[in-house]
Amino acid sequence: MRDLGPRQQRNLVLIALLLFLGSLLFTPQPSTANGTSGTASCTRTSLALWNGSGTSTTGSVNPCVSGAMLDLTFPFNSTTQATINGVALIGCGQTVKDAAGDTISPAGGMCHVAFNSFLVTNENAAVLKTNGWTGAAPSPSYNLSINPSGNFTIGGNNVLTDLWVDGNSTLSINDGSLCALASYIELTSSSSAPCTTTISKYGQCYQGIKTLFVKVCAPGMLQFLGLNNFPIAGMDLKIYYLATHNGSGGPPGGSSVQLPNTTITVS
Amino acid sequence: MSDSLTIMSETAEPSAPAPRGGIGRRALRRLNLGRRWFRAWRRTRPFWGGVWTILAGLEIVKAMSFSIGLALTGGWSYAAGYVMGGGLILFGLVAWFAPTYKGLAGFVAFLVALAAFPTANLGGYLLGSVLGIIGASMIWSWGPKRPSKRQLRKMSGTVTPGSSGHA
Amino acid sequence: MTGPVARLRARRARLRYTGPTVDGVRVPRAIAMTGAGLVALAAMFQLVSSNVLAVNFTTTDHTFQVYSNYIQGVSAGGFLSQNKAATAAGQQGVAELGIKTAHLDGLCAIAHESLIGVGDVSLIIKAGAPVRGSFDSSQNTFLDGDDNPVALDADGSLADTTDTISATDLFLNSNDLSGYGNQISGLDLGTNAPDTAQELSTGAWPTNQLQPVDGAFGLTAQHLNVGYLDGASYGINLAGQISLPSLKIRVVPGSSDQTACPNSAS
Repeated sequence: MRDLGPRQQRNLVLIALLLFLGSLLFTPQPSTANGTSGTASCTRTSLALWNGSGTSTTGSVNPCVSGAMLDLTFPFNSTTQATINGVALIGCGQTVKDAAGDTISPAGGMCHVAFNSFLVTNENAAVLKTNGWTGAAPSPSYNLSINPSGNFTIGGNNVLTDLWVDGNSTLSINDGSLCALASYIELTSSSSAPCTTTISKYGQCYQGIKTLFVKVCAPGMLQFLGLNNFPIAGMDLKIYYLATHNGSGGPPGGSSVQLPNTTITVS
Repeated sequence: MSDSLTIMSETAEPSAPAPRGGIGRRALRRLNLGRRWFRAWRRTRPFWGGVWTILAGLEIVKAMSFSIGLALTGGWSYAAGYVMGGGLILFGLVAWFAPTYKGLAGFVAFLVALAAFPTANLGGYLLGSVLGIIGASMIWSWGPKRPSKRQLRKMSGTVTPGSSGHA
Repeated sequence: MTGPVARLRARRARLRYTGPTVDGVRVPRAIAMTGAGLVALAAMFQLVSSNVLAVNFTTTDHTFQVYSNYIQGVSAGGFLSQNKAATAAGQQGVAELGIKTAHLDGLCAIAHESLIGVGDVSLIIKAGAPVRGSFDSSQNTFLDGDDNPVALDADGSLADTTDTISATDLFLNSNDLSGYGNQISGLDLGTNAPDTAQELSTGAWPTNQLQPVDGAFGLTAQHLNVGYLDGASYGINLAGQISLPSLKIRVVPGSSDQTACPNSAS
């Protein structure tokens, strides 16, 4: 093989320089201006927020909801796993649309529940999990898990947590008198603690007789039963949207979420 | 051109008498010839500077290996590894195949190696930039120089009269 | 052709070595140029360290561990995505997190690389306060690598941010993250991924980051304070403004872990 002649060498250098300068100049420069803002083509749903008493609402949020479901579970256990100072079922059969404008229709219907000062005291098993996608999920699909190692708070003192959940979500209450009351108005089959029922079952009650939720979330009822809060023994909340606020739709003061050492994994 | 003088001194070595017969011997002879050709080729260009520069480029590309599609569409953050690493590889090759322009190739590679630090994962975790600077300096500084005593001895045995002193 | 240049040339020609030559690397010149390059590199290093020069740092194929004693974030958005790797095997679901303004009490990032002929090496990037060699996950008081407690205000924000790493629009994509969520407020879960962009200063996820897609799970938070962060990250983007006080980079043989964070902070 012979060496390149002077002219060929010169051409080679020119080509190399042009290639390099070309790739420098014609690479799209980093720009944040034309990134995906996503706010343009999103269907927003106006969601009313609980004001902290009864089933009244004050203010609203206008989110663009992904439609992906986040499952908050902790396995059923006779010891108290979470406490909530106030609970309200605002209503079921709610219309929540996803970003594409399609109504999200979970199996048990869409229910709006709200908690006041929601504290999970479960030590080890609470898991928040989502498959992360609605519609065209990448293949293979992934799960996001949030595993707190101890007590955690979703909505601290004077913070209200509004949740839009599948009506098939379950809530187990670990208190005999509460369960007896629930049994009395035929919400659950058992009068002994703990008792489990689905959110939507309350929802049916809401439309017929007074809902247990509405009754017990009145602070007077807790006092009547000699309780400071609702002792929750187990939970399986299929959450489509969760917002924390201060009771009048504004951002909560102070901390709304407090997590212990928490592992977040995507697998 | 002074570059070609040493090539002569290398290839002008008296070749061994052609060995007779045998495929093995012929292969060996070819191998020997190839080795000598490569040595001559290597010694007439900034070979080692090119090697380090190309390695530096590979390291930077490896440190920022994204799919080509992403590098083409994802903007500078994803393309920087290919542009900077690719630039070093390119000018390493230029130093090999266009040794006349070794000064230019070395200088550009030097600048690219420096520019890779802020743009391409701290210059391929520093390693790429450092290797690139060394390689580029070797390319740039390559040229005729005073031979070592050992080289002088070797040259006096093989060089034909008149082929030296053309600096 | 007279004048200083011509005279210099003439002088150089007179002094030039005229004996037999070989071609090769002219060592003094090579050393001079290498030295100049290394000085320039060190100068750039200093510029990065003193917040004059921003660097770009993005990886996808191999994870690296990120440790920090404490992160104080204001206005954060996150979503679930799939990282963009060169190979299908390298693809992985990741949580993409963007923080509009962040202060980090210490940063220690460790990447593992396998180099041909050298074997496994670890690249350690450190800035700010020394990061602890291991995090005690049983309590939520946070200490740095010198056993000094991280001073916090009642709302969970850092009491003093002068020597912290401060970044605007810091992006991290991770598939495995752990830490204490200390005083997170204004949390919304279930936001459509593209909509999380409203938390960022530009109102958009930058084009050089993973892009959110409609229907992907997202979340936003007004205040995101995380203690003892330990994350396996596919990428940190420092493309925004970032100050990296007392930046240190070192490459050490073998696979280093978190224990290398405080003691090699010399």
